[in-house]
Amino acid sequence: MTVRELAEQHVAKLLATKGIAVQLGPFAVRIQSDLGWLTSLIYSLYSPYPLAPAGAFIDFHVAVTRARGLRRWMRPQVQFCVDGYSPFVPYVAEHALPALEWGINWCMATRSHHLLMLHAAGVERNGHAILFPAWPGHGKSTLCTALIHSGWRLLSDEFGLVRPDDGMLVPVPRLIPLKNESIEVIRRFRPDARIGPSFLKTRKGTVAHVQPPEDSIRRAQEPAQPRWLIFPRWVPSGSVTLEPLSKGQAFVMTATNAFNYEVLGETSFRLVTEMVRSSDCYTLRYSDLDQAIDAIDRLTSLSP
Amino acid sequence: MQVSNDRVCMSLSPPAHDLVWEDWGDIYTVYQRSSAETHVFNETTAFVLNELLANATTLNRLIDVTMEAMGLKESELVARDLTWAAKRLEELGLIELRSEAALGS
Repeated sequence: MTVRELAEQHVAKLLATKGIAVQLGPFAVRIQSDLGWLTSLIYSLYSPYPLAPAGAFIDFHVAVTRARGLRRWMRPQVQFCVDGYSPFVPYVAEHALPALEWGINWCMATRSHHLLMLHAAGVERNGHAILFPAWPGHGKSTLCTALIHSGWRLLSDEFGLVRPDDGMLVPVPRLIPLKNESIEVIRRFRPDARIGPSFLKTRKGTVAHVQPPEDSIRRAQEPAQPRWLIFPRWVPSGSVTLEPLSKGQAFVMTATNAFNYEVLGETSFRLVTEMVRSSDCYTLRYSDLDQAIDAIDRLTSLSP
Repeated sequence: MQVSNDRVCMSLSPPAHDLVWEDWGDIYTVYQRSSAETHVFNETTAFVLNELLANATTLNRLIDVTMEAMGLKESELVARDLTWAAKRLEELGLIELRSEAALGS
């Protein structure tokens, strides 16, 4: 059952009371909020997401609620909480949705050490996945958004989750936060992409959230085999370049992009080694999305 | 007073016997179980550790062996490179550097 199969008023009531449990890839997240306008947004953007199965273990209990005291009314603020605890300072009330999304990111990053977590976007097609490890500002979310609107399935725009037992990538197809100029870039690239409202002057500039294609959400329980490691970097101008990268360099760049490499110790070393050994590794420099996608499509269609 | 390279004895420390190596052709990545750290070693550093696996030696003898094995001629560069590598490996706890005077006491 998906969120949209519930009536919006019912979802609003659930959010304001015991919460609504949504399945986000491998994580069951119970969300609560007493903000009426946020519930409309959640209903809209989360509509294709499955509800967590009845009785499922809830990984994170999160809430975005009005701040207490004067900040409830004067220049109102909201608080993100997980398990009743607020790990962040309050947000401006208008930024409630970004606060929720960033908060869930924080939960995953700090509480998912049963998986190796790479700071990477991931997409899949025909059973093979591309991972794009990159630090913020390199354009991976924008590139990922363009790819999933060009025939690729979204695994994640932020977390490359690797299963220690078999090295498979675990999908977590969440809303994709685009920042600043990227929002307009994607609107032009795919006018039919489902993009939520823009939130101005957040801690990361202007942010808007892209709802992934429903196929990506429906297939969230299908893991994928990594086949290519591509390290992207958006540049203001110039032709696209897609160049082979030595595996030694790829190891170093992948390991340094792992959120919890040190936490998992030798398991991380083994997983990254195996992933690099079994993948073709490249650097990608691009300024135009169409050129980047063409280059990636050519590469992946040529490879056995 | 600086101790000459002839009088600096190098040997592997116990953690160096428990490393997980991966050879990438141009570099080695090495997982050190005793510290849970991952290191990136070049060919020179890997060669030093490999030589010391066989037996302890002095820095000067190591320089000679390295030059011969790698077909190098610039002894000053090799000496500087190896001295730096040795210092770094000591900091990582993988080798021990002891002066002969210290060994005798």
